[in-house]
Amino acid sequence: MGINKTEKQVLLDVQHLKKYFEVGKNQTLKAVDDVTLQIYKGETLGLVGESGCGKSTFGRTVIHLYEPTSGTVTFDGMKVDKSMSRKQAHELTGRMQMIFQDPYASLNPRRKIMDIVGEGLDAHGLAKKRKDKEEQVIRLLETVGLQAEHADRFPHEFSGGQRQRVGIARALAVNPDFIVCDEPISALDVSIQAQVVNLLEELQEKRGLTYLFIAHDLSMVKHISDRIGVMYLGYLVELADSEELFNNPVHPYTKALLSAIPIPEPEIEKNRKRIMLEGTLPSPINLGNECKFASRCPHCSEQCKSAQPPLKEIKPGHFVACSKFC
Amino acid sequence: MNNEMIKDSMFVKAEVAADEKEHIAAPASGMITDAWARLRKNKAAVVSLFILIAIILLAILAPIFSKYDFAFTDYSNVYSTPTKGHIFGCDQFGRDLWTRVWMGTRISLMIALVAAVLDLVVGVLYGAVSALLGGRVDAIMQRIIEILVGIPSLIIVILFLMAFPAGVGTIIAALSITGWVNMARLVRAEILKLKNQEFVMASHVLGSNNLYIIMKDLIPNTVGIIVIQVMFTIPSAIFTEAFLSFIGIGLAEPQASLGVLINGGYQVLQNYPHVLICPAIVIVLIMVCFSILGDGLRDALDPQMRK
Amino acid sequence: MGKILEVSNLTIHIKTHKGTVQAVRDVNFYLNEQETLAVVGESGSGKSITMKGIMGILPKNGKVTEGTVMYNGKDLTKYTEREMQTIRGSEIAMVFQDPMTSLNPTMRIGKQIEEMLKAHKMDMTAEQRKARAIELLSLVGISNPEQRYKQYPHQLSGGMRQRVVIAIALACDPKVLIADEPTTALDVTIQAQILDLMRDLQKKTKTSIIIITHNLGVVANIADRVAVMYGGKLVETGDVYEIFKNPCHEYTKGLLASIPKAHEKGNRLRAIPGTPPDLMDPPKGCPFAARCNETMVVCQQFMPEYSDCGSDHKSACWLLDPRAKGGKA
Repeated sequence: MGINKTEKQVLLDVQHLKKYFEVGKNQTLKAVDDVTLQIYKGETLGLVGESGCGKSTFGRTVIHLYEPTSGTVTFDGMKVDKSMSRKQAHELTGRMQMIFQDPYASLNPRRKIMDIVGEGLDAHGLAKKRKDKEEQVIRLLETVGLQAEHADRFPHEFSGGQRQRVGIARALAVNPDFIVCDEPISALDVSIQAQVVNLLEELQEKRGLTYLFIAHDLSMVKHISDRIGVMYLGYLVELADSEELFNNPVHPYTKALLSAIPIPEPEIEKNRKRIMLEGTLPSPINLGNECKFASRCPHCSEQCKSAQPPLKEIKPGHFVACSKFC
Repeated sequence: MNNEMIKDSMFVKAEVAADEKEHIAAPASGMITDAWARLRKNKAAVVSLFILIAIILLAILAPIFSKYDFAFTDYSNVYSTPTKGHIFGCDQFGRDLWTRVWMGTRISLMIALVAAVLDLVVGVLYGAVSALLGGRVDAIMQRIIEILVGIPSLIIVILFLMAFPAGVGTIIAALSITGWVNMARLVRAEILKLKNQEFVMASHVLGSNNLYIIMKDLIPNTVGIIVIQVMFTIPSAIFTEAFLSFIGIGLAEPQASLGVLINGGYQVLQNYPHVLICPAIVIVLIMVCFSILGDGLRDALDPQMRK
Repeated sequence: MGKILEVSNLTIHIKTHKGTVQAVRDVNFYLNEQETLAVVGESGSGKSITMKGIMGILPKNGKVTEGTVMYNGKDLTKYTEREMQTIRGSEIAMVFQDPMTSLNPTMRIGKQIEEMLKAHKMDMTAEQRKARAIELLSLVGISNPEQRYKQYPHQLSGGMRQRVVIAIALACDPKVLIADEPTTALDVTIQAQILDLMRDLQKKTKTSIIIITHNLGVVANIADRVAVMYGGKLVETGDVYEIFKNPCHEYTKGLLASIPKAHEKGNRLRAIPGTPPDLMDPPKGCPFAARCNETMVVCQQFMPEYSDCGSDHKSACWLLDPRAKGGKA
C-alpha cells in the first residue's frame, strides 16, 4: 500500500476548512475548526477522535453534504462548494462516494437490494436497460461477497455485516475514485469487522481507490491507514504516517488516546501503565481561544491558554499542533 | 446424545460450499407480508376487519337486494317491530328500517371515506412541502396550522354548514376544512426525521435528484403512519357526521345517514326502542372496529419491531 | 474460592410472530467468588439473553424452558417474580450498556441511588440513605459528591452517568454484578477510566462480576475467566491467559485472529467468513460448522460434548475428540 514519495499526487486538498453550526442565540458549535490536510491518490487516510470531535462532520463537508462555513475543499482540481454548477455537482457524485456507519439506517427498508445497489446506476444513466442493470447489480453483489439470490430481498433480512457490504456495493456502483468511510465497522461484530476491512483493502488494490477512513477504533485504523489524523474538538492535533504516529506520538492527546486502547493480550494489558486523562470532554459550544486540549492536558501552561497552536511539521510528514512539544 | 450413531467415518473434512456461508435461511419477506403476518396474530384486529368487511358489503348490497326502497312509505306498517318481512322493523312512515339503516351506513361511510381521502391528499402534500422546503416557508406554513388548530373545529364546521345549503357535498367540505391538519403535522414530523437518515444522505451522495428521493425514500417510508392516521380519521368523520345530522344541521329527511336515523329513533325511544337500537349498533360497531383495526395496524406496521 | 453462581443446562426460548427463537441452548457456566468472568460473543449469540434469564427480566415472550441457576444453594429459576425482586439489586445487580437510558431523566441522581436503598434496606433512615448515596458517589470516583447528588442525569457526561449507574448497582452491596457491555457506548479514554474503576471497586467491595463484551481488549484488561458464546451455545470457557494463549475452539481462534495485531502490519486480517446462524432454525450440529475452516461431517450432524483442553479449560469442538486426531493423521 505504501506509495513512493515521488508519485504522490494530491487527490483531495482541504485548506482551512471550517464548519460551524448555529445552535442557539449567539451559540456556535465549531464542529470542524480550521482543518488543513491533503489526501493522496491511492492512499487511506485514517481520521480518529472521540465522539463529538467533528470527524464525521469533516467527512460530510468534504463530500458536500454540508456547505463549508469557510475554507476550501478541492477535489482533483475542482472546488467543492455551492459555486459548482448542477452538472459539476452531479459529476462529483460519480467520483466521490460514502459508506455509512449504521448498517440498519443506511439502507432504505422499503426497497429491495436490487434497487438500493442500482440507485447509482439509475442516477448516472450507467445502465440503459433493465437487464443490463440487473447484471451489473449482481456483479457488484458478487464483488462484495454476496450472491445473485440476495438481490430480491429486503434489507431487514440481512445481518449487519451483509448490510454493510450492500452499502459498499451501492457506493461502488458509480465507479468512484474516492470513498469516505464514515465509521463503517463500528457497528459490526469483531469477526465481521475483519471481513469488511479486508474487502475494503482488496477493492483498494483492484480499483486504485482512495479512502478517508473515519473511526474511533484505533487498532483497525492503524491496520488500514497509510496516514492517520487525530482530531480533538474540531481541530486536527496531529497527522503522521500510521507507524510514526503509533511509535512516536507527540501531542499529549494522541498519547493518551493510544494508551487508552485496550490491547487484546492479557499479559500486556493487565500490567500496563496508562496515561489517564483527567475530566471529560468540554462542551464544544462557544470555546475560547486557548488550546482546545488545555482543560485536560497534563502539561498545560500559560502559553497554552493564550492561543491555539497551529499545526507544525516537526519531521517530514509528521504534523503536530502543540506549543509545548514542537 | 446417540453416541452409537457417531461413526469414525464422520471425522473427515466436510465440503462446505462457499455460498452456503452467506445463505439466508428465512424465506424472502416484504413489508406487506410481514405486516400481514403480525396483524393475523392480533385476534381482535382480524375480527374487526371481518366485521368491517361485512358491514361494507351489507351497505353496498342490502339496499340493492331489498324489496323496499329506502324512501318507500307504507302506512299500514308504521313503527312495526322486526318481522320476517322487515328485519329491523319500520319507522314512523312505515319505511323499511333494514334498507334505511344500510343506506344510511352507505352514505355515512361514503362521506367518511371521501373526507379521509381529502385529508390524506391535502395533509400529505402540505406536510411534505413544509418539511422539504424548510426555512421560512416551513415557519409560515406551521403558523397557519397553529391558527387553524387554535379555533375549535366544531365551530368552523357548524358555521360552514349554516352558510351553505345542507347536503353530502357540504358535509364533506366541512369535515375536510380542518381535518387535514393532523395529517399534515404527522407527515411533516416523519419526513423531518427521515431527511436525516443515512439512507437519504446516501441517495444525495449518489446524485439522485429530489423527486427520486421524495418518491422512493420519503413517501414509501411514511406510508405506515399515513395508513394508520386514515384508519383513525374515518371513524371520527363518521362520528362528526352523525353528530351534525343528529343536532339537525347535517343531512335532512328523507335522506338517510346513521345520524339522521338515530335522530329519528331518539324521538320515539320510549315506545319504539328498535328504531334507535338498530342504527346505533351499526355505528358503534363501525367506530369500535375501526379503532381496534387502527391499533392493530399501528403495531403491525411499526418499523421499530422489524429489527 | 467457592462458586457463587452456577448456571446449568440453561435453555431460553423467545416466541416471535415468525416462530420460536432458541436464543440460549443448553448453557453451563459458573462464577467464583470475587472473580470477573467475561462473556464474549457476537450480537445475537445469546449472551445478553442468558444474563436476563439469570436476573428474571426476560422480555414477556421469552421463557426459561430448561435448566437451573443456582445462587447460594437456591435455584433462581424457581423463584416467583416477588422473590426475584428481593434478589435483584440487593444480591445480584445489573449495569446496562447505555447510561443515557438506564437513568431516569426527571430524577436527581442522589434520589435515584436512594430509591435503590429504599427498596432493599428498609431499616435505613433518610439521613443514612443520603450519607450512603454521597459515599457511593465518591466511591465511584465522582468529585464534589455533595453537589452532584443534587444534579440531574443530563447535567453529567456519558462517563459520569455510567459511574452513577454503577453506584446505583453497588448501593446494596450485591454479591454479583452483571455488567452488559458497560463500556460499549463510551469513548476509549472514558472506557479506560470505567474499566479501572470496576477493577478498583472489585478489590474494595469483593463483588463477583460478570461482564458481557465483544471487545477482546476489554476482556484482556478485566477478566479472570472467559466464556465464549456462539449461536446460543457456550463453546469454550477457561482462564483468560489460557484462552488467549491456547484457544481450543475454532470460533475463539478465528475471533482472536481477526483482530489486527500491533506488530504485523500490512497483512490481510484473518476474517471469519459468513454470518452467524439463524436461531429460529438452529443447525443440528455445531453452530459454527457453517463458518468453520475445519468442518467435518460429524460437526454438521452432532453437537460436540465439552472436552478438557487444559486445567479448568473446556471446549465443545469435535476436533478435540480422539477420533478426529486419528482421522487427521
